[in-house]
Amino acid sequence: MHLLAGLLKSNSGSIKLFDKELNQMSSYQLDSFRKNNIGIVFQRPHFVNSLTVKENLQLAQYIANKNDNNRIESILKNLNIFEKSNKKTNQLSQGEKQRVSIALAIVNSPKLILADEPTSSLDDNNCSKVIKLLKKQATDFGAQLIVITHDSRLKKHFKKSIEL
Amino acid sequence: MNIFKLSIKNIFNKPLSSSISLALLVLGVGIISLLLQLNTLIKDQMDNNLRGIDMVVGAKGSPLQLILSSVYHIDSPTGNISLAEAETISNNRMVGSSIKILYGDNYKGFRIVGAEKKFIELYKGVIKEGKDWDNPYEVLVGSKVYEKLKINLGDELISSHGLRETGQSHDEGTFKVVGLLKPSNSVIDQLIITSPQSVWDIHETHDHDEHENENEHEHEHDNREITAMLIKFKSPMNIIQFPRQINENTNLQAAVPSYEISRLFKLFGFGIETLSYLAYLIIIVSGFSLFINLFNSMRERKYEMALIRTLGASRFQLSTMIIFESLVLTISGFILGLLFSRFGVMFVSSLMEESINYNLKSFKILNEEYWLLGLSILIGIVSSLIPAIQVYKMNISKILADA
Repeated sequence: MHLLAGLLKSNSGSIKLFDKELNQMSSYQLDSFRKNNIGIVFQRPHFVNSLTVKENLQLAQYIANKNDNNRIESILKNLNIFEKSNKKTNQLSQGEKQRVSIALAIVNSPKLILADEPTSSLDDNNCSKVIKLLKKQATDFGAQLIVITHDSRLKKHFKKSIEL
Repeated sequence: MNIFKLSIKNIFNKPLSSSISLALLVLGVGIISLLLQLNTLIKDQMDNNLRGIDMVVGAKGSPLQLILSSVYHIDSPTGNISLAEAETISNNRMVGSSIKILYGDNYKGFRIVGAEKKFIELYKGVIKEGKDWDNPYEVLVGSKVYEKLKINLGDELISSHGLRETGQSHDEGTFKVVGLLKPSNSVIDQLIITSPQSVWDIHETHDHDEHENENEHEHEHDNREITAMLIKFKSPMNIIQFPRQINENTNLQAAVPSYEISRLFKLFGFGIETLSYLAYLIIIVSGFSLFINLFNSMRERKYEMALIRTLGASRFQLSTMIIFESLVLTISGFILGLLFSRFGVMFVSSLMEESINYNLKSFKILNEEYWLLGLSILIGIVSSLIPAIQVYKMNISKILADA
């Protein structure tokens, strides 16, 4: 997944994404490619702790040279965490954190959402909520979704799966 | 939101660890700047009062004391000298001009100086209100004296004997205020000035009272004394030869103010130097504390950094953020340090005004302080360099895989 996200370079072979050859890009080009095309949801959500939920999203927009508070608002409302906008991220519950991390992944309207074990630490109920949310966000914003998981609960949600 | 805003948010997120480095830096910068300011101010003040005086003649004793008392009016005089002897010196062909001054009394702690009118010209004193003295017992009052004691034109001042407030008061010694002087930023601001005759008169009657029972009434004009004489030479060359002649051949003492003052500065210059080394040490320690601070916070924040990178920020942006965090701290440390030193100057000057009637006020930024700003920025960059490089080289994939 890190290879796909351009966080890691492969030693051999080639990775082609949206007609771009990732292996031939410089570190700087990869950063720029990532901010324009890819949103990542991590197994354990990470945030900038000194910032509030809203500021975290604003930072993500700033990095991608965007500034659109309406979009932040609509995403947060959509994910049902709008009332937490001005809370520091360490004041959130686990489920809320997971949702904010989804918000972070989609705030810049990526073409591809990568989710790395997004449900491994969640119970059945939250697991199905999160995966539904991810799928909904992907369809709503026209993005492709790749979920990497060993969580068999997710099998039924996806038509295409590659097993390794 | 941008990288700089983020830096500032990060600083405020951990106020305690940031404030220790900040406090150290403020202390270091503050002490150095305070020393620089005081040194410059005192030197300026000293030089300002020194102009036009090449040599001071007075009674034997400590030359520094002679200078401090008769040029700066902050120490007791060494004693009196006879007017006749002083006249001989002022008639010497090497002497350009001379001003005789006499002490004797004070009014509420401010010295009353009997002096020739040239004394006021020497310090470029200008009368703001009223007129010059014409008769004995008429006085001109310096700006700080009338401001502090709320003296008005026409007031009568009853002096006390000696140079401190506690002296015995003369019932006869009533001076009349005939003029107020404009502030001149020199010693005359804190003096009450009158004609030499007034001081002679008051002490003659005074002595007269004391010795009445012993039937001693021999106060001839030749016995008149003065406290010191301020001398300007015709040629600067005389400064080497003439004082030595006086010191060796007469029972008077001649002292050269510029020499004595530089001696004084050498004496406390050592203390200043030691203290400023200490302050530089504090600044260096603040740099280390800043480094440790950043280094630890990099460890705590590595996931945060990795996240920012996955959002698409470049290595360069992240490193800039670290350096900026450090610079915000050091530059605000510098600014707070300057504020600290200005309050220090205000405090010291208020202390000095109480004790020796000196007033030092200035808020200009010295050249050395720009160097201090440079040093603060340098400390900021150097201490953030290693953390910034670490962030630059960070392997995001590895950090995220460890999570």
